[in-house]
Amino acid sequence: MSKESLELVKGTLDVLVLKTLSWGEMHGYGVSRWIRRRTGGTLEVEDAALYQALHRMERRGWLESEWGRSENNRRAKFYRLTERGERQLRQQTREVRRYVDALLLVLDARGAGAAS
Amino acid sequence: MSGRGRRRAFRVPRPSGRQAREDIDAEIGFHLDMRTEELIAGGVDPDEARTRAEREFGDSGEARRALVPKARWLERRTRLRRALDELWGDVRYGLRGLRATPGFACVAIITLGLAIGANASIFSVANAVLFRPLAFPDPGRVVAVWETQAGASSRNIVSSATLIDWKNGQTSFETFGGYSWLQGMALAGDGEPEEIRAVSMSRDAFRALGVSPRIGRLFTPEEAAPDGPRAVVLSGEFWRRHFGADESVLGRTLTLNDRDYAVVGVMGPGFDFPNEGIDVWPILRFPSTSDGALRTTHQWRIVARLAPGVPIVAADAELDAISARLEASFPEEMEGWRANVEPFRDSLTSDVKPLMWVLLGVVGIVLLVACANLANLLLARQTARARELAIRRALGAGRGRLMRQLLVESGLLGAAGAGLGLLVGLAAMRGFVALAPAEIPLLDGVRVDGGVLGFALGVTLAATLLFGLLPALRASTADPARALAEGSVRSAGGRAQHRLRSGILVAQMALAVVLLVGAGLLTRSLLGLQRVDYGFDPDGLLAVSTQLTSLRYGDTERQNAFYAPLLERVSKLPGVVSAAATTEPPVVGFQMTWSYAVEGRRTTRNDGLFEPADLRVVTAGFFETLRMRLVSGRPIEASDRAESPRVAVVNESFAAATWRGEDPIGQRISFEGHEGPWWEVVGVVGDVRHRDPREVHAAVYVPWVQRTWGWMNWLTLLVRTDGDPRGLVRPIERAAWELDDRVPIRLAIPVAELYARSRARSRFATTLLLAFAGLAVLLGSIGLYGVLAYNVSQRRKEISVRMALGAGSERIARRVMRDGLRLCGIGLVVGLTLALALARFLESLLYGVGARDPVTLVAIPLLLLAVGALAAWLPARRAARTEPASVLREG
Repeated sequence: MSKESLELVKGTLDVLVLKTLSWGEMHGYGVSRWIRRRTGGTLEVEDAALYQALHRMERRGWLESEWGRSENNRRAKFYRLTERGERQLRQQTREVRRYVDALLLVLDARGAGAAS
Repeated sequence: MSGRGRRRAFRVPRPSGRQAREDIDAEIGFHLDMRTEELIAGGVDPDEARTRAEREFGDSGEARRALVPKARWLERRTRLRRALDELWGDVRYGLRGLRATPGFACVAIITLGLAIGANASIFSVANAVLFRPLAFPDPGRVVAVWETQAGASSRNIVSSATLIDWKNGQTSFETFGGYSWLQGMALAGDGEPEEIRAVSMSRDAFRALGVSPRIGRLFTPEEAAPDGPRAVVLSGEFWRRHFGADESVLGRTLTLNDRDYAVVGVMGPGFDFPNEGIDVWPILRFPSTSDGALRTTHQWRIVARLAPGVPIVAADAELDAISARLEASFPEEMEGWRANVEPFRDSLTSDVKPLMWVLLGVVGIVLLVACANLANLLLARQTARARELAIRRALGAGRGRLMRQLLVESGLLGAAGAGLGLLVGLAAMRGFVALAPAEIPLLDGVRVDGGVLGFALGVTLAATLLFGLLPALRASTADPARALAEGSVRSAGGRAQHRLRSGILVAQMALAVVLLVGAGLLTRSLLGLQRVDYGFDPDGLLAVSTQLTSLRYGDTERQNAFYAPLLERVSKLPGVVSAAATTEPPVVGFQMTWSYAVEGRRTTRNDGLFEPADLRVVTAGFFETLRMRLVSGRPIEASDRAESPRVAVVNESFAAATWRGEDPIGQRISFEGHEGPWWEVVGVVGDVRHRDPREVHAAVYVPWVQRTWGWMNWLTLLVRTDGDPRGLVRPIERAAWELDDRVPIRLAIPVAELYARSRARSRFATTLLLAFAGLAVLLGSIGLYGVLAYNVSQRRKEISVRMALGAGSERIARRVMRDGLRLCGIGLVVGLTLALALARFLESLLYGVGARDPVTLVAIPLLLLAVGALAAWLPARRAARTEPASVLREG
């Protein structure tokens, strides 16, 4: 965790959360922990923003939630992807990929015209 | 992912605002706790861990503020969704239940559909006739004004003089206009002369209505002046028919009754005044002052617009005061005359109001009967389902929940019934309009509108609650333990349940009896009407009416020159037995009533004259042609010539009212006053039911050739034939047009048909009431059958035991029959009591039978008992066929 953290590119938080939840029902803390562990702490996700994203996506019908019991038997709110959420995840994944690919095309270029 | 249902059970619902806040706090608190624990587990110092968790989280206060309102909204949405989910669940449950018992569902939906349909259709008619505002701007201020005299009609038409005095003296009205009754006017043109329907309107009458024409204009003050130019406004329909909707018609000339009228305007298609089918509205003009105008000839109808904010009673009082002043100045002419101001709609519909209310009441009763039936069906069904309901309750379903479920089921039935009802209603509405007598006003406006739909919705809701609430309440209060225990011995109904169902049945029977009595009375009076002795023989009699124009036929001599040869020619036509003519034909005639003097006698009236009697001017041979009864003396004969002594024939009513047993022959009467000229009574004839079979008028007949009134320019030929009267119409028309090809034939119709038309209202009411009563009885007997059959099936065990102990099957059947007839009997007694109380509402529709007609009051119970016996017989037979051995083995 001593490495420098990266700030999240705007608009990519949603797709991260969706992807995380595509593995299964999870409470907000679980999502936060999963992202942190998965990226080895490289991505800095502010939890306040994460919860706002969860609630926003719930209102949009991408997620649904239910209160339940956590692993250590505490009351926790669980989120789960809806069908609309899954569609959203696929679409946003495609967009992020295209964006990153395009970005890399430019960044990896070896001088003007060299590619052709 | 698993255990969704279990998780949901943890949730304790709280008021939505606080719930949302607590949820957010819990969610964030959980996160921070978990993160802190994780950090501690990773070796971070506990104090340090909490701070770090909070730092990582970011601004939690800000997050809360942002999340709470949104969570609240989400919360509400979730609740709503859940409620809808539950409702949908109830609906599916209800549908499943109904599908499982299609017979029940069908009977219930059809019952309800018929009842709602009947209500919707009758209401759509009543709405147009009674309730919907007339199509004038601010229609509440449009009123009709009549003269009224104590003891006489409250809707007397108004004399010119009084009209002018009222108009000039009043301050309550914005405009005060007059119009004539329907007149036939001869329209000259190419081809056969035509008579069109005209109502003369004063300029102010149009202004009182507040209408404007579709093209052109209404009357100007110049045209309204006593000697102004003649103008006419056309109806949209007439304009289309005669001028092909050509706008250049404005300024053209229409020749009506031989006078030229300038066409100044055409009204839009929706304008009907005073009722449908008017072709033209020529200008009506009054003298500008009441001097010299006749005060005793009542001839105008008045339509006026109240000034804003003036109530009808105030306007009425003001006109009364004017009339009282006039009475002081003209005690003879104005004795007892006062004003009557009423909403214009009332003046149109007062005749049919009772009929409409009766019909609304009747369909209301049909609906009640249907609801009773459904309530009984639902109760029975519920009893059959008592076990299921009890188990659901035992498993924790709340009372409210069960009640809601049952109400949803009723609601489904209601919705399906309403759908069917609207279809039935739409069809029935068309049927009623087609069946309705033409005299019912405003029928053009019958349609399904918001009002009708609202009414149907209201009726459905009320019905659903009526038939659904009682069973729902009972089901939800039933004690599950007892129901389960009872269910096991298959007598879940219980005594209270039985009493309730019997009570409903009795109410249903009673309502059916009310309708039956009404239908019975109407049928009896319709039969009476068809058999009525009119005092003459209408069969084989043709009536042909004409009116000459005053311009070319202004005096009696010229009128005679047309009518005398016409009558002569007509009587020589093949197939004609005899022909005569009168100023007042039966049913449709224009009624002239005159007060009269009797020689040597004065009444207590100021003018000493007798109360008005009908004056009928007839040709020689009139009584013979109509086959009227000659009581004494002689009829009017051809030997009564214009120059011979004046003679009159009176009818029995007239003789009785005037001479009270004295011999009328040789007495003399006058229509002018106590100075004569005198008419000597030479004969007495039987009364004729001329207009309304209920009424007999005192009447005087005088010879047509001796009349002195040049304005009496109309006559109706009454032609007796031994063949089909209709076959004579063309020959008579030709004979008339050979004499004058500009005289239109107003009416040519067999007299018997005129009477049939006049019975149309009675027939309409009778047909409907019979249909509705039949429906109610059918529903009632289905209900009776249902209750008895159900009782029998519930008591199979008891019956079997009785049979096993030696009761004969006949005795069992008798018992069931007795139960059924007892219920019938109670319903009958209650129903007859109710019917006697309600029958007076029918009185205006009855003829020749009292509201307590013994025949009806005997026949109806017999009929009902017969139907009841039939309905009871089927279950009784089933009870008798019970096989004790097999039933007892089952249990």
